[in-house]
Amino acid sequence: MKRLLRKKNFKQLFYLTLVVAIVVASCIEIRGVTHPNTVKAGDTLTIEVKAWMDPYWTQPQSRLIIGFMAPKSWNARENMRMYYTSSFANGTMSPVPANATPLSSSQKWPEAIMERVGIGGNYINDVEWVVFQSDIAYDMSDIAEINATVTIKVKAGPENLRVKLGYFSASSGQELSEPKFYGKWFTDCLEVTDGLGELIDFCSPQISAVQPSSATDNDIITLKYDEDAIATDLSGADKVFLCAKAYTTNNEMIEVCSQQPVSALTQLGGKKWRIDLWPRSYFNLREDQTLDRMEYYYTDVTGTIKVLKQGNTGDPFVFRFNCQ
Amino acid sequence: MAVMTVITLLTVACQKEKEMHFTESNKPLTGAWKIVKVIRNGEDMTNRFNFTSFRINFTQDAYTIDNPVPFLINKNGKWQFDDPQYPMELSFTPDGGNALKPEFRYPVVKGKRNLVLIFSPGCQQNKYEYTLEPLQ
Repeated sequence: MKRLLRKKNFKQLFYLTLVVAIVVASCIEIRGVTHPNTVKAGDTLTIEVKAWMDPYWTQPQSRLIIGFMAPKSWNARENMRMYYTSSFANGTMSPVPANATPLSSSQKWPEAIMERVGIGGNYINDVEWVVFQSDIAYDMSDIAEINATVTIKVKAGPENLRVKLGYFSASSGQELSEPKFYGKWFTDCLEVTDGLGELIDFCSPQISAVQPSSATDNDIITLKYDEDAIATDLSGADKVFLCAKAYTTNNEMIEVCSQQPVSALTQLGGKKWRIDLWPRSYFNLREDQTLDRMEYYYTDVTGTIKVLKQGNTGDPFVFRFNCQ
Repeated sequence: MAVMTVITLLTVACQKEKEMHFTESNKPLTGAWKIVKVIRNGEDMTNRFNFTSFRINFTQDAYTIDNPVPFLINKNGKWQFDDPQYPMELSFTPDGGNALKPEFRYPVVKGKRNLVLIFSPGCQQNKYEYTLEPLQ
């Protein structure tokens, strides 16, 4: 009986150790990403992602999943190719079907990744996760660990910007129930040069940002003002107003600059402010008018204090209406 | 008594059953609808912009818009389902314009028929999901 008990204890201890080992161990990781620091707008950027997986669990018919986070203006789903070489197999990758979800999840892949990983160190959330999967499914049950190099070739978007690109790895045969079941990585700032428009800096706190970054005058746009980005004479004000000049494609100028409720920003807490507007209505456009750009600054209730590009000085902020 | 029961059972058992036909009802849009929820690129905009005055009024085959907001269409026009009983396609044809066919859903929520429209009023990459509800 004693022996039996000892044997039983040993068995329990063995399983307990195994469970602890499984809980502590990582299963899927990204162990490095390399790409150049700059790329010209419209050029192809080549990225190498070092993905690692230790598939000790049962996962028949599984595909390698790789997520890539980039500015929406890159339209990465349409402008990206992906393939992998590994100790297990080599192959090509394609976008996951639009309605595909991680195992046992009701969220689509991009939503599930955004919830778990977010947008890294970027200050503007006008980015998206684009998710690819290996074209071939494999039985990856209880096999040796896999080291894969995933090559991403993506066309940089048309805008001048600085951004921290994001990467995600997983298996279609594994739930994303814990961080150990997926890999993530955000690189340092990549700069896109020789492109269109003012520099959009995702990497630094923004005094002012516009969302969506690509919009026409018939979108609802959000202008954000962040007091924390730089101290100005307007810091600490209890009311902030938008003062804007819109220019049509025929170079007609329409100014809306008043301390009326329609131009008042809403305070969000944490010294952050926001105004949502429909430019066609806000600037009272005729049917035949289309906006090219908007120049704007933030001001106080008296209209004398102005927050411009450099804080208390500089040019007004500029937003161009286009869908690039 | 037993004989009566047997006779009754036999009589009833031999009657031909009435055939029951279930007909899927038409999905009417007629009436005025308001916006109850707006999502822009996954972000809830419902309380950040004044959508409360917007109305779209459907008659049998036409619609009118009051107090426009960024929407699929800004002009009055005609509408139609491809199949009134099992609609797979909803089209709006503004006066003098081409037919627009937004992605749509037509669920019943809390006993009320909702109309969910997904479209891009500005740039194609910006997706808006509007949920509308009948006024009554």
